[in-house]
Amino acid sequence: MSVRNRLQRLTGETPAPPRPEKPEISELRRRIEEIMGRRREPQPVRKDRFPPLGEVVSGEEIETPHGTFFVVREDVSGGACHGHRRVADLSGLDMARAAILGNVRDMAALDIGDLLFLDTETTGLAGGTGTVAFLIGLGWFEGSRFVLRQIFLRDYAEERAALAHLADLAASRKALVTFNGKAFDLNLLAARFVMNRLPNPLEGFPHLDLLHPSRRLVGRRLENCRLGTLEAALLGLLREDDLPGSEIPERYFRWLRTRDGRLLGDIFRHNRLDILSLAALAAHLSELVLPEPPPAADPRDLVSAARLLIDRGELAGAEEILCRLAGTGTGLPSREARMELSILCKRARRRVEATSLWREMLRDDPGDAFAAEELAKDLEHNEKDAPAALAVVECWLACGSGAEGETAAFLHRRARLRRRTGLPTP
Amino acid sequence: METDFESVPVPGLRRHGGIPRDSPREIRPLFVRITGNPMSRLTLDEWLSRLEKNRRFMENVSALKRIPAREARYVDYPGWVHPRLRSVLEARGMRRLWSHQGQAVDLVRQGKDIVLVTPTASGKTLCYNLPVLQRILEEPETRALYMFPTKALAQDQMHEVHGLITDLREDIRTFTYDGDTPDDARQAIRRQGHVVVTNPDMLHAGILPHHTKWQKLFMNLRFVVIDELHVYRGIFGSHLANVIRRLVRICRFYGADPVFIFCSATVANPREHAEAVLERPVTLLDESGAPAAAKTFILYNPPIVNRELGIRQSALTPARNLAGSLVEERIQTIVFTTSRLNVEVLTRYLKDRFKKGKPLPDTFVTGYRGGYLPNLRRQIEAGLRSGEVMGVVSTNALELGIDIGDLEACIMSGYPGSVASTWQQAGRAGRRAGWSLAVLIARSAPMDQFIAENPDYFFSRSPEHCRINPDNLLILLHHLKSAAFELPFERGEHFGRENIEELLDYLTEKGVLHQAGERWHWSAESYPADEVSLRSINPENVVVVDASEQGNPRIIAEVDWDGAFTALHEGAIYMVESQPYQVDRLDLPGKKAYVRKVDVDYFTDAMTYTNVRVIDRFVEKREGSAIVEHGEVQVVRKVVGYKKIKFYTSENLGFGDVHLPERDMHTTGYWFTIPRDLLEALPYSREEIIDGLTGLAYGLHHLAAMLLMADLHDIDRCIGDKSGEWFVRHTGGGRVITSSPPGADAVEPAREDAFDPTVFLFDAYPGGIGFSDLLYAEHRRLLGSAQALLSSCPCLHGCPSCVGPTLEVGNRAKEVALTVVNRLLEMA
Repeated sequence: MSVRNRLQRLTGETPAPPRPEKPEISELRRRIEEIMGRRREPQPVRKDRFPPLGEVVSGEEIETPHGTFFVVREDVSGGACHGHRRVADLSGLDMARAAILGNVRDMAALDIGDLLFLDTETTGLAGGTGTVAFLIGLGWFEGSRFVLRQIFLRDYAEERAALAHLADLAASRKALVTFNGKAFDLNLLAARFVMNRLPNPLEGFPHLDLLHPSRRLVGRRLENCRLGTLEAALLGLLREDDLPGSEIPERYFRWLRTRDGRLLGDIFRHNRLDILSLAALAAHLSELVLPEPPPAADPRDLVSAARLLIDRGELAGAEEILCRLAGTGTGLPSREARMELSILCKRARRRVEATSLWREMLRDDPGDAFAAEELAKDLEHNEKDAPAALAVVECWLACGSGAEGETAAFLHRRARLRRRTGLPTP
Repeated sequence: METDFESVPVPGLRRHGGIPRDSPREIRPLFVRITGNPMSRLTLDEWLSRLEKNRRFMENVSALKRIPAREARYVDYPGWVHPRLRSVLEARGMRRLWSHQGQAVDLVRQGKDIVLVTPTASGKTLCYNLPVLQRILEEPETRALYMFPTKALAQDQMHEVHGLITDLREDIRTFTYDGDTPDDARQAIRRQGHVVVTNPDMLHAGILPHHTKWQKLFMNLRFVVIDELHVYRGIFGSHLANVIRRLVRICRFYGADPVFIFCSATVANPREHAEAVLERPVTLLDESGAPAAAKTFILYNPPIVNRELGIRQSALTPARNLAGSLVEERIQTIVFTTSRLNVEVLTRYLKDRFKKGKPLPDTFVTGYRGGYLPNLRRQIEAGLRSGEVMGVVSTNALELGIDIGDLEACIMSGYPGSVASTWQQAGRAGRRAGWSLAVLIARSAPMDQFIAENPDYFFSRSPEHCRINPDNLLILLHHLKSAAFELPFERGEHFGRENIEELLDYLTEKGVLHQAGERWHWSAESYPADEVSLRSINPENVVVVDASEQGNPRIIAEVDWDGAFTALHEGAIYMVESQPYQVDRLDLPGKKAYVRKVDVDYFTDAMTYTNVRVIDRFVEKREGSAIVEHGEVQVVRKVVGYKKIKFYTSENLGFGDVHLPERDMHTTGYWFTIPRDLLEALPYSREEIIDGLTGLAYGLHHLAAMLLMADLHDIDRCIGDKSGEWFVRHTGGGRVITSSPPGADAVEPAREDAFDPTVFLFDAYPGGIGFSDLLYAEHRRLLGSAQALLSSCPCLHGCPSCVGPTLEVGNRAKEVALTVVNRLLEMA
């Protein structure tokens, strides 16, 4: 009996068992089906039924010494729009700011044209050596034009040639920009290079992964940091009829079985938008950390940007942003800006500025625990004016708007100050 | 699960004059209790001499063997050993090597694959640590992979090699890499670890599918160490062999060809086993040069308490008395018992004993078994090493080489099922010095009784075979998928002995592989390694949740899928560390069981029903008048109810119902059908014949396990009809043949002439392991042994040593079984 027959017996797939079968589905068979994956209908391979890929997707086959693959090329003119920006404007990305944004120091000295924007589409998110990047999307600036290249594996056998082409294109670039590339795309590509016994040209490239700065700058005010969410909130881009990322692997598998090019158009479109968004997002986020941020920038983002700059040691830049925000009213960002600014000043021993900020904050909100505490500490230890410190504390407590933990701390401080000033402690 | 029926008192027995001479309470060796004064405590030596003077005890001892201490045999260090390495070892007291160590390190140095079979505490680890460290000193890029079956063992061994390295003062890095390794450590280990210590599950799911991240390791891999090889038999072994196939395949991709070093406990066929796993020749080293402590080995057979029914005192009783007495003298003791249930029961008895009197820490006596959470198990192991735990009751989970220090005594309550296990367990006592004690207490089961009555046979007996079937289709399929995920398959490649092209085509049809030219690539979103657990064909565990506290559920244990049906049905009493919990609800799809702490005086034991149907016949033959066949069967198991059994008295307090789905599996089996006219010619009723066949099947099952030198649980039995439409049910009124599905309330007596009585013996694992194949070939021999067993058993009507307890098979089972066997054999 052939192996396949024995296997079918074991999994209960035989068409006619010797005796009438019981109606209950065999637990084993159910599990085998689960194990075997969601696809149940084998698709016939009928390559001749469908038009060749080149007619459905505007790309071409490339032949190289390593083999063949398919590539889609596009030059996006500077006048084209992506969201509410023109592509030409994106090419004006401030490299120094981008370097600060991603903490990638080597990037500051580069040109915009040295950047390689990269996004892959894969056969799954599981990672491991069985996952393949079947579409490698690349973009870079040439002048004010944005050049797109989408390298596509029409079948697994084309991978080696495709990776070699990626290596060629990467050779003339010096840094990478991705979205979540550090955790995903680059690891995957590294594995693919090893599997194909090719050296990894991307290793050691300075790498700006926009996911992390996104989280830091806008993460707290958005529902999540998915690219689609960022596009809608920041870039003014709403995708229409976009293929959900979760459906992409299955489309590719169906393509392999049927060779129906119509399955792929959506994937190329999706990937194209991803890459353009990388450029737009890089521009948008970098602008937030400029000393003169765009007027339309969300103040909350600016506070986050200032914090990021402080972390990176760019105190002057942070101060500029904060000063501007501090003077803009009584909203939460303004208050936060004043808080951050006051800490900056305090650390730089600029006491006068710090204390005047705290007094401002208390004027706007007498229940501001941070300001009250800092002011009291300064009065007590620097000014050596315990009664004045006590007055601040009493004032705050009189407000009665503090949380339990805060109130307890203030009560403690008051008791201590009373002792120091010789007043009776209740 | 086989309970100790021997202790079930039969109501009304006294009135029939079959009054036991001694009630169970009195058949206890007379031990004088010494109350806690350390000065008057006995040493093991003294305790033993007192025991030997105890007439009541010695009456039931069927053998007392004194195994003398063994002297060491030494050789010098080979010349190639690095002087610094040598001085480190000498500083640890190893001025010379034991003979087997010398042989081993030389062979490994020459690149020869070896399998080392020597007892515990014979310095096996040095046999691989020495060549590995030596090579690393010579070539710093060298890498080695060490594999242990459990995380605990891996941790243990890691500390050992780490200690050597620290003494060497070299920059050699060893790490464990398993499920507990934190993410940020993983990258460092992949790049820099010279010696990576892991387990097969991690290799299977964590390392091989990500081998590109381990490039450095695979390119420089020179040594692979696999310890406790004997554990890898049956299903687990079949999986491991496939994982090794994948490992070798990946090594080849990176141009590596490591040497394999296997360490095994004493089994009958270590070389054959290692060669089956590695699929190439392996050199055997099985003569230990290490010294061994002297040991007293006692075989004890509990006395018969009911001659008519052939019931013996439960093995748990002398176990708890001996253990209790030893522990009282602060002689560190381990008690092995044959089931998790028995661990709990025995632990409870011992804890109760030490509750009276001076308060002792709760850990003085503990249980130990696989279902306990890892933290608890680590605590207990540490407690054993420190002496805080004076007595531990365990399943064979503690058989493996985890360092638990020097215990002095080992009590085995019930034959562990294999000679190899028996010596492993006995080896837990007195590993390093002095005197030690091992006591094997027989239960009523045929194998136990046979050994108790034929001690010379036991002592001269070679241990069991380790069998695996790496080409079991289901197992092979899983690993083929994993292998394809790791590296596309090329036409002409070999993986196992099957025609893999057919299998690859099958997988392509199913949509998980895609063929491009001469290669088959993985082409699915899923991750195949996640779909299979190496230890069973069914990977899911059921988690036990203690819901006693409102709003604060806690996970207290884990049970494997199959075990959950018998241990966690609604109403079951589940014990952890002898604290009883009752199962309120079993959520099978959610894989959770909700339990509540209870304070009850009974435990429960599930009753399982098994039914078999023939799917396919591979071969058949005629033996006398019977038709004997081998082929594929579908096995349906159903838990139909449970018994409530009282602690201490083992009275049956009642039954409970269980409503759980059937479990079915396909496997291979062997069966023989007895012609109807033969049976009709016998002067017995239909019911009696069924009883006889049931009894015969019981005997054959045990004999088959002995013949195969396999575990009793590796095969199973059933009486039925080949069509699977008729089967035997045990009802209140006796055994009946019915055509109703198991568990149905109404029972219709069937038309008897439609029933073809068949005895099935089948592999207990889906897909089959190859046992039933062998049994088919040995059918005559098996029947002949059954004839011998039945005719020579001294019981009157049947007993657990030949046909099973008469309460289950009735009073005429033995007679009928013997008649049937005689007829079958004489007509051959």
